[in-house]
Formats: sequence, structure tokens, C-alpha cells
Amino acid sequence: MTHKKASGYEEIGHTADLSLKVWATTLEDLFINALSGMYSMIDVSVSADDQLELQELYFDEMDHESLLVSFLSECNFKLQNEKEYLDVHEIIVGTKSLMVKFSKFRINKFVKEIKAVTYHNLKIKNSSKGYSVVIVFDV
Amino acid sequence: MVAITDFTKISNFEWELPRRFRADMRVPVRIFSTRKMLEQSLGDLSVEQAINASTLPGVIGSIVVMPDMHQGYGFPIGGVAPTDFSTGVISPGGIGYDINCGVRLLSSQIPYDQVKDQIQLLLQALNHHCPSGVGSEGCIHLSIKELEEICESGSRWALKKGFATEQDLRRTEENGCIFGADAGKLSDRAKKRGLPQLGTLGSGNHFIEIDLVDEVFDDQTADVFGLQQGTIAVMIHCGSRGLGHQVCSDTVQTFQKSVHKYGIKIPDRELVCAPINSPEGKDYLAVMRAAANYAFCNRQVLAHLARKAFEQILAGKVKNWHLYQVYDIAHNIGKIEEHLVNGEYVKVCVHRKGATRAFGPGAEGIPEEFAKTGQPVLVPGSMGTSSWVLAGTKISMERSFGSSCHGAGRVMSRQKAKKSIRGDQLKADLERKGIYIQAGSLAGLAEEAPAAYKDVDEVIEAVNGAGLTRKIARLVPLAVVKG
Repeated sequence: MTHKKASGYEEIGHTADLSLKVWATTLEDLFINALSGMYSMIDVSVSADDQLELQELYFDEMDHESLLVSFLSECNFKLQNEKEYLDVHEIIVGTKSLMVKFSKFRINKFVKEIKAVTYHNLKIKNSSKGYSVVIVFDV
Repeated sequence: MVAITDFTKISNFEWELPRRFRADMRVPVRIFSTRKMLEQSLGDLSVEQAINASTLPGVIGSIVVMPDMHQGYGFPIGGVAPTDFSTGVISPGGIGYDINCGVRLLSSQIPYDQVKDQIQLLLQALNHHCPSGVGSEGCIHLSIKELEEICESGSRWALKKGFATEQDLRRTEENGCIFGADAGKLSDRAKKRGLPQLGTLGSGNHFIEIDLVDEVFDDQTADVFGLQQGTIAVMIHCGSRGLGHQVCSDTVQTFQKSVHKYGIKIPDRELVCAPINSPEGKDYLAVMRAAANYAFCNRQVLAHLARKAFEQILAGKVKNWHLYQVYDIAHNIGKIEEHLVNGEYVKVCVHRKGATRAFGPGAEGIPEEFAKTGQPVLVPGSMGTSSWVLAGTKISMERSFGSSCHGAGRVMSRQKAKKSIRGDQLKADLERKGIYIQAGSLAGLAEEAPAAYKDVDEVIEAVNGAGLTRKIARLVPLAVVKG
């Protein structure tokens, strides 16, 4: 990787949809950065005074890529249908499982609608500098 | 990397990438395009995605790609993938997340000259009556039971409720209802997303447009379709909203395991699939059809709301202000059809992702009034450019599994469009050309700028040149409600 920061995300060009490059030194940060990147692309604004209760979510899938798609899809569903923004406090990524502890905020608005988080060429890469992945979102 | 020299030129508008190009290809890739547009398409991953689709088990004949092709996820947009019904697979990625995204065209006998001063009022009324934009919710409040009925009966529900006419249903692909849908197999989450969204446009590239029938190329067929030069028409582009997106997401996730269960090797995980006749394949067909029926009904309700808008502005001022259905077509769908493959009729699952059915004269499944003309093929342009009404031909039945193009096709990424085009400037430029815009978001408008798309007229020249369709009429936009 050639990123200046050890951890982050950036939107990259895709003809029809949205594509996000994410990188981090740990898998946990990779998942958190992917969520931050998704929220950034859809330009969500939250009501900081309107914090809801602390909650946990658990996912069981066949691999890290499936966990990432499930996690982001769940957050997208909560955004679009429950009008909730997740502020992640703790995340534990296992081989086939994921635990996320978060508090929820009521959202004011979001500008873009993501139809789905896709598996298109989805591969979490691991190198000596950390983890990276490119995620394509259908919009 | 694929080069233009890897293709065999069949005609000026048809190119074939032979099966030997890559070891895992099961069938060739056949692309309908001009040389110029094909070379342009080699700049993104669309051809590689078509090659990947050609590796699916049971794929038959060839993978067909239309000139409006561009890079998607898994399959290319503008792709047609036929799989053998007995031995092949069904792939949700070959249909897309917006199941039965499609286009409806309504014609009128309203002369443009009589209403040209009221176009902005019509636009405001359409914007008021037809909810659009991110997170939009409709004015019809459904119970779960009603939602399930819609998913199983499609536009027939709308007819029962007074939101449709018999002609509307007759002039809708599959008469607005695909049999074999099972709403009981939809996830609770899909139903939850579908409940508040019936009769909404959504966002992205979806729109409702007031058009002028600018030029008619075949008077006789245009007359059968109900189109007259110099009159107003309304085009609606949208799909199955969150319900369809959820159905596809649910299935892509489930099928990640199915490919292992059935020992299917795929070059991209977005191409996950299951044998059509497996329990997983049958379940997907049932829910995909349910989402398709929701989409037919959604466009039907939007047509009803558009009629209310026209009544509000024009009743008492124009002699006949009614809107009549020309046709409603799906361009993201999987259909079980019979096609001639290597001299034999074979039952196939035709995946159309960004491709429109274009059945020719005499084909089964099109309304009786189109038996001699072929079905209408509706090709929206890109806000500032023409839209087209074509007719399907016998050649499309022989060469492209009864399919044609679905639009202009993107060439510029959304990110680049946002950086290079200002939404407010675009709106002003379009208004100077006499095209009025109501947009939920100016940034969203910039992403959908005409400059981000191919020249739709070139796309039409390619499909007509290949003989897949015939030109019937060209429409030009007067006003657009953009989601």
C-alpha cells in the first residue's frame, strides 16, 4: 500500500456505481473504516443530542468478506429503514464471526441511497503493512 | 486485457469474442456495437465481466451484450445471459439489485402547442403527486396482507383498486404479473422495506419525464403504439425499490454457500448462482418474481399519480388530457422463455441486466395489437437527449434472445461527474434549452448529467444497424422529475 496514513478510506472511480478503497493496520479498524467510508459517501448527518441505547450485534458467516458485507448491509438497513446511525465502540472480528458493540444516533438526513453492498471482486488483502479492500456499492 | 483484435467482426454492428479466448469460457461473447463504442467499452471492465458470465454452468448459445454496455458488478450492464432451464443456473447478480427496474411510456392526444406554456405547471404537479428522492415514502398505506397480494398479483392489485385500466395491464410485459411468485418466501426485512414505498420513484437514475413526440419514423406502427408526432408523452423509469434490493441482497448472501454446495466455480463472488431446479434456485425464482410484480405495480401506481397531475392542470382546459399506456417493460429481470439455439427450441432462463426484451412480430407473450409490429422497446435517453421508441424484430429473436438495449449507458463515473459538473449550472443550462428540472439533490443531478452518458443516438444506430429493432419514434424531453 502507498497510503500516507496507516488507516483510512477513499472513494475511487466506478462507471455506474460507487467504489470505496479502505485500508487499516488491523481487521477491526478495516471494518470500522469501511463503515465510516460508507457513511461519508452517502453524506449522513446525525443528531448528536439524540443518542439511543447501547447495543450489540453478532454475525456468523463463512469468511471475512461475507462478514464485511453482512455488517455493512445491516448498517445500511438501519440507516434507511430505522433512520439510525451506528457509532461503533468495540468490534471483534473472528474467523467466521463478528461482534459489534455500538450506540445509536437518530439521523437528521442522508443524501444518497445505497441499494446494496456487493461482492464484486471483493477480497480483503493482507500484507506486511496491514489490510485493504475495495468495496463496490450499488446505487 | 481484451483488445479489439481479439474479436471476430460479424458485421459493422456485431462482434464475437470466441470461446477459445479464455479457457474457462463455455460460450462465446457476442457484442452488438459500433467499432467506436466497442473500443470505448474496452476502457472499463464490462467485456471482462461478460467473459466471466460466459463461465456459468448451463450457459447456452452466447453471452449477448448491448451497445449501451458498461461496467457493473458481477455481470456487465447491458448483458443478456441465457442458461438452460434443465441444466443451468440462475444468478441474482445477472438480474441486479433493482429487480424489474424498467420503463413505462404513456402517450396522449395533447398537442404540445396547446400546453407549451403549462409544462412547468405539469412538472410541479408531477413532483407533488409522485414522491421521489432518497428515502421517499408513498401515500398508500399497505398492510402486510396487501403487500403480499401485490407481490403475487402485480398490477392486477392496482386494477382492483382503481389505479389501472385493462389496457394498462394488457400493455405491460407479462400483463403486469409474473406467475410463480411466492410472497411467503420473502424475508420479513424485504416486506418491511416494501411497505411504505409503493408509488414512489426513489433516487439515482430514476425519473419521470414529460416528452414531446418529436419525430415519427413509421406512421403505421406509431399509430398502433398510440404515438402521434407533436403530442405529449410521459416516461417513468423506476423499479422494485427497497423490497427488490433486499431480495437480491438476501439471495446473494445465501448463494455464497450454494456455490460450494453444488461445486460451482465462479471467477467473481458477485456471480453466485444455484441450479435453476434446485431448492435454492426455485426459492430465488419465487421471490425474484414477487419483487418483479411489486415493481410492475409500483410503476402502475406512479402512472395513476401522473394521470392525477395531468387532470389537475389540464382538465377543462384541454379537450382530451388523458394518458394512455404505450407499454411497460422490465430491463433487470430473469425470464423463462423458449429460444432457438443451434436449430432447436430450448427452454432457457434469460437473465437481462440493463437489457430490454425486444420480441418481434408473431412472438408469444406480446399483446395481440402488437402481433404484426413487434413489441415496443423503450429506450430512455439522458435527461438532455432524445429517448427512443423502437419495435422488436424477428432478427432479435434469432440473434439476441429477443433482447435489445435499455438506455444510453454511462461512460463517466459518478465521482468524476460530481467533480466536473455543477448541479445548479446543469439545471440552468438545461432550462435554457427548454428542459425544466425538479431534482431532489443538485449533486445527484450532476451525477446524472447527459455528459456522463454515451450518445443514445449512436446506441440506437447500433441496435437498428444490427437489425435487433426498428425505429418508430424519437422523443425529446421537456421536463424531468429526478429522484
